[in-house]
Amino acid sequence: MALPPLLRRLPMLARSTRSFATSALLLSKPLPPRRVILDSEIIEKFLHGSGPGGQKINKTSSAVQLKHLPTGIVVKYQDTRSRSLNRKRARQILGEKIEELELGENARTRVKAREKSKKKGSADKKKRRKYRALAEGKEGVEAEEDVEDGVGEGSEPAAVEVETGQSKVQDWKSEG
Amino acid sequence: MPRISTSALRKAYAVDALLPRLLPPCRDLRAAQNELRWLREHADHVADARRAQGDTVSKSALLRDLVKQRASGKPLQYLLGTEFFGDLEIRCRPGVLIPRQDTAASVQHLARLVRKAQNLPSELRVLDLCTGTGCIPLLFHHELYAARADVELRALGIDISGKALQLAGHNHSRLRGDKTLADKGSIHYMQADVLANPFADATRGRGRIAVSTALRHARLPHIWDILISNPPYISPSGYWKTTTRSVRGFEPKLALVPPPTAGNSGIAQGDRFYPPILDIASEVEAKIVLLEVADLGQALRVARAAQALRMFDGIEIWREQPNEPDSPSSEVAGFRVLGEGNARSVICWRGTGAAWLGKSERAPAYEDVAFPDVSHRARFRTGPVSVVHQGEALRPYWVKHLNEEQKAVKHNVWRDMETNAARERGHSGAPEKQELDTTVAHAEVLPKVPKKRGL
Repeated sequence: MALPPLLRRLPMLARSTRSFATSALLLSKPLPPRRVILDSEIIEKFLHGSGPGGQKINKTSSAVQLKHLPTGIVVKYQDTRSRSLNRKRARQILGEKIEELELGENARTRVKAREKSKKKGSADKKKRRKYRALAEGKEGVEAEEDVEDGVGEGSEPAAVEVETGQSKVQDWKSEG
Repeated sequence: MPRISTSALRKAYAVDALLPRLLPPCRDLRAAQNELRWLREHADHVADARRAQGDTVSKSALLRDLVKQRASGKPLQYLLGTEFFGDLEIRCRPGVLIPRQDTAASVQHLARLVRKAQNLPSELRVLDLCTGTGCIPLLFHHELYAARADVELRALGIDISGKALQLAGHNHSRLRGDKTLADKGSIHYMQADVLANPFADATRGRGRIAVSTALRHARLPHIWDILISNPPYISPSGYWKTTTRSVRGFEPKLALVPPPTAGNSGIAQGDRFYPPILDIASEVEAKIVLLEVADLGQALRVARAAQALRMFDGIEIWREQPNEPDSPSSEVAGFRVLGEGNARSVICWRGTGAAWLGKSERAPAYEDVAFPDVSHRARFRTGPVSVVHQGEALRPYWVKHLNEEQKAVKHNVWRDMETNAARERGHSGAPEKQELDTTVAHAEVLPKVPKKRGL
């Protein structure tokens, strides 16, 4: 993929300057740039029903509904009490949805989700390995106690090595 | 109002046991869920704060109490203590009207138009009548300084209620304290009565000090560039028919319905604040006037009244959402109506105000006709605007620059108002005479003003 010159230089910049936020650099692939939504592309509505307004009622809902005209995607957001916050959040969500539609698997949300599931997968693997090792270690310890009677003190590593399956524990230890 | 159906109550109960109680004030499951979430967050917050002080409070008991109060119709904003007004979180207390989002939309739109203007004076003065929580000057300040740094804003909020002023001061210091408001410009609040006659004896009624008198006593300027007001505008019948239970039962009537006067009832009572506000606008020589109204009918009445004063170069009506870039505009009874939703405010401008709103294309046609001999109005035309406030020290505030013809028009329009005021005072005609006398006494001062400035 041909990147514009400025973007191509970014990783170098990141290396040369001290970065305090490391999470962005840990992503294996750079995220695509955020989708810019023009105000002319959307219709924004503040939903407050019909009837009198102003001083006559005090609304607690500050729901915002955005409709993206080219794609027809509608986003409604009303989780906060602040209309400006709702507008901001609704725009973010709309941007993500449009991107998913346009870029498919390369969209920011998909890339992030994939990265997350990958991380979770490896964490799960690690977890499984750890508990398996612990379970086996318990058996190993029991076995060790049997062995310890025969072998002298301070020869624990040797004892570990003696047992089959203990190499896995060692792997895990050196990793951690 | 229709009864909540059993199935809706059951559905709500399945989600949360407290939810059915919130359905009557919210009318809608989704809204009730949101309110319950906010109440729960609030209860958690309060309970944590009290526990930190060594109190023992049960979160669930606190939440149950809040839900009970909300079910009785108490506004959510009074329970949570704040309401969002634009980007600002404004503190609310019982006894002071809760700021409305429609008001925020109008004020935000106005501030965003004004901050784009090229020829703003070095000190921009904004006067807000019936300020309540003080939200309008605060939001105007916030919006202006979000984009401009070269203008010094001087805002003044006026209210009759001491409770409101106390809360407004609290809101101001709170937003300044947490750095939400830029450390520029000044905002002040002052007590005065918009309805009080400046020519009446101020010692007779307690707390009935007219705005112009209060400005003079406080040694504040008597020329203000922008006048904004969200006065009480609901008629007594509208109060019983159109307001919701939580408004009627919990918000102050003082902020909703204008006080009655003899022979002035129904719609006229609902409109009672607009004539004196327009009078103040002419006194302070406001270049832009923004008035909130209840609906299109009232908007048209106010717009016609403003037109009859022959003071403004343009009058427009804004709906609830005037800020849409390509919002539909229509023409109703000769006035342009902008935006979507209910008609919410009337905006009038004159002189440089047109340029501040980005409406400079219209030539001030009637100025030369209606004000042939009043040369100090020349300063409202184009030119460097930093000189705008220079002449005011020379000219007493009560000098009206209306000629006799206009005075006649004005008094026709507000005849009711004047006669009622006269009836109240018990002697008619005296204030008018006084007003004329002062005009004569200071007539020679006027022509000199523009010459001194070399315009």
